[in-house]
Formats: sequence, C-alpha cells, structure tokens
Amino acid sequence: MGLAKSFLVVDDSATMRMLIIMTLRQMGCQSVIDAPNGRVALEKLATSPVDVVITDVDMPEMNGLEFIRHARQRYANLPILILSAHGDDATRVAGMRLGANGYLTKPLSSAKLIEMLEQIFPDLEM
Amino acid sequence: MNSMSPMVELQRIFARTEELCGVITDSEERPNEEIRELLRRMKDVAAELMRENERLRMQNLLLERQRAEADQRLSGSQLGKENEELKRELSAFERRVAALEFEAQKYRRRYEELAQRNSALLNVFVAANRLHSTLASDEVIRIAEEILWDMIAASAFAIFLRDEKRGGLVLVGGRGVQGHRFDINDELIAALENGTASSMHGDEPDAPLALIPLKLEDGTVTGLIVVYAFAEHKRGASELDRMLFEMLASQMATAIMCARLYGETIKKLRSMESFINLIKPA
Repeated sequence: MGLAKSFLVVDDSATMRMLIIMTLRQMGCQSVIDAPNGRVALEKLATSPVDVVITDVDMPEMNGLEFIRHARQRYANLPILILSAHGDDATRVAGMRLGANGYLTKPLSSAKLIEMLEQIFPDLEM
Repeated sequence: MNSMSPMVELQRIFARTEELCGVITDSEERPNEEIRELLRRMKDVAAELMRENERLRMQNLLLERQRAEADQRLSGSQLGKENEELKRELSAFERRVAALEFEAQKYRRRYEELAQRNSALLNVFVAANRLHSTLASDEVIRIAEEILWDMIAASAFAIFLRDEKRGGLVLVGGRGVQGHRFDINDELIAALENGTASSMHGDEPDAPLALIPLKLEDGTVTGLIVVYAFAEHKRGASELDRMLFEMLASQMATAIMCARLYGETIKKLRSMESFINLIKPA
C-alpha cells in the first residue's frame, strides 16, 4: 500500500524540491511533478492535474501566495499546502485567506505532512 | 445490654403500661375504656409486626443457607471449576495485555526514533547529492545556502572560506545577516585554526549560535559556517541539525575542494592548450 495521490511540488530551491519528492516517494507516492515557481506550476497544473499541491512562499516570477490566488480561481477544490521557511502569522494568515488548506514550516517534517494529508483526506491509506 | 428477647420485652412494657393506666384512671376516676382500646390496638399491631419480623428473619436465614449450599455446589461442580479456570485465564490475559501494551509503546518509540533517523539520512543524502551535483564553486556555495536555509531553517548565517594566499577568511555566502555581523573576528579565526565545531548561546545579540568548520577527510580546515540565528518557529539546533552540520561541513569542504581543483585544472588545461597552440608549427 502506498500514498495513492499525485502531487505537485512548487519551490525555487532544487534541494528542497528533491527532498520533498524523495520524502513523498518514501511514503509510497508514485506520482510527483515539480515546478520552480508559481507560473510554471500553473502551466503544469493545466496539463497534468494533481490531487495535492505543496508550495513554497518566496519564489521568483510568481510567489506562492499569488500562485494560490490564481490556482484557487481555476481549481476551487484542489488541496494546497504551504511549506515555508516563514513561521510568522502574517504569511500564514495571508496564505489561509487565499484558500490554502494547511501550513507547514521548514524544515520539512514527514510526520506533520502525513498529519495534514490525513486531515485533508480522512480516508487516506498509506 | 438487655439479653431479653424483643417480644418478651414488648410484652412486659405493655403489661406495665396497662398497670399504670389502671392506676391513673383509678386515682383520677376518669373513664379509661378509650385508652384501653387504644392500647389493645397498639398491642395487636406490635404483635403483628413482631410476627412479620420473625417470618422475614426466618426467610433470610433460609435464603442464606440456600446461597451457601449453591456456592458449595458450584465450587464442587464442573461449571464452578470452569468458572475458576476462566477467572485465572482472564487474569493471565490482563497481564499479557499489559505486557503487550508496554511492548507496543516500546516499539512505537523505536519506530519514531527510526523515522527520525530515516528522515535525517534522507536529508543527508539529498544534501550530499546536491552538493556533489556540480563542479562550479559558486553553485556549491548556492546549494550550501539552500541547505542551511531550507533544511536547517537557519535564518541568519555566513559561509567563509580560508584565503589560501593571504590567510584568514573570505566571506563567500550567507543570508539574513546585516553587514557588521559578517565581521571576521578572533573567535572565527580560532575556530578555523582549532577545526572543532562549537555551539554557543552568547549573551551578546550578535554572537554566533554555532561555528562549524568545513573540514576535509585529512583534517584540513578549508572554511567555516557561522550560524547567527534560526527561524522563529525553530527552537534551537536539534540532533538532526548537528548531524546535518557535520555532514554538510565535510561534504561541502570536499565539494568546494573538488570544484576548486576542477577550476584550476581547467585553467591549467586551457593555458597548456594555448601554449601548445602557440608552439605548434603552423
């Protein structure tokens, strides 16, 4: 049994993208795509629909908050999780107001990620 | 304590009461028929209550005897033995469940420990993989910055390299630090010379929280990572961070050395090619 969901990982740090992808693969996820910023992420979403998006906030070209705003307009029910180095309330509140489903802080904790996925998908099997 | 039975005692009280009533009515010459009637009724009711009490007492005795006999029969019968056996089994199961719960807790703790270690190894693997994915010095430094920022959540840090020609340290990277905090002071030089990592929690606001020398396998120290602050949501350096620091220090030193040697080799190769092209007959 594995994590039967597809993910889009959005982060300008290639190191972070690699870490998140490998963490998801360790959880048994078979389908992960990635993007270095919000603009590329929107392009990828248009061609490859996914079950969950994990996005950073600070990114060039289109930051995470702007990406969430655009994505929410097009995909009202798509679960979006923010994974940011910022632990401050302002970024958290801004993200949640724009429609994010959860907020995680870096460094990534796989236990917290699982907890959040279980909140979004109560019948999640891993 | 009165040893007389309640029935006898009651009869005596009634007799005495009747006697006294006779005295009172004789002396005061009043009709006593009504009082006598009342006494008779009381006497009847009391006698009735006493009989009822006696009947209930006998019934209770009988039931107690029956219960004792039933218990005796049960303990002697197969059913009773089975009951005892089941009680023993239940007790044994309860002990076993408690032991299993203890074991489960032990395994849960162990699982959490392993998950944490696994996560640490994954971080180390990704960090090493990224650091060795390039031979360009600038790129190695940029990746080291990503690792410190994203994996360790260091919000203010600097990366220094040893200046091979002039000695001392040269700032090559960092994030979130204002100018004066990049100062190379005696503390940093000492850390570079000693080559040992240290964690500090100085009283001064600008004092570094951690000094991590970039050390090659042969012990040569090629630079220094200085962490001034962690992200607000992170409470200091964890065990995983220390492990990452050590790995990062060694991998980064190796990656920088490789990039530097590669750069020098390319430079030499190009000058040799130029020289060969120069002396080559046309």
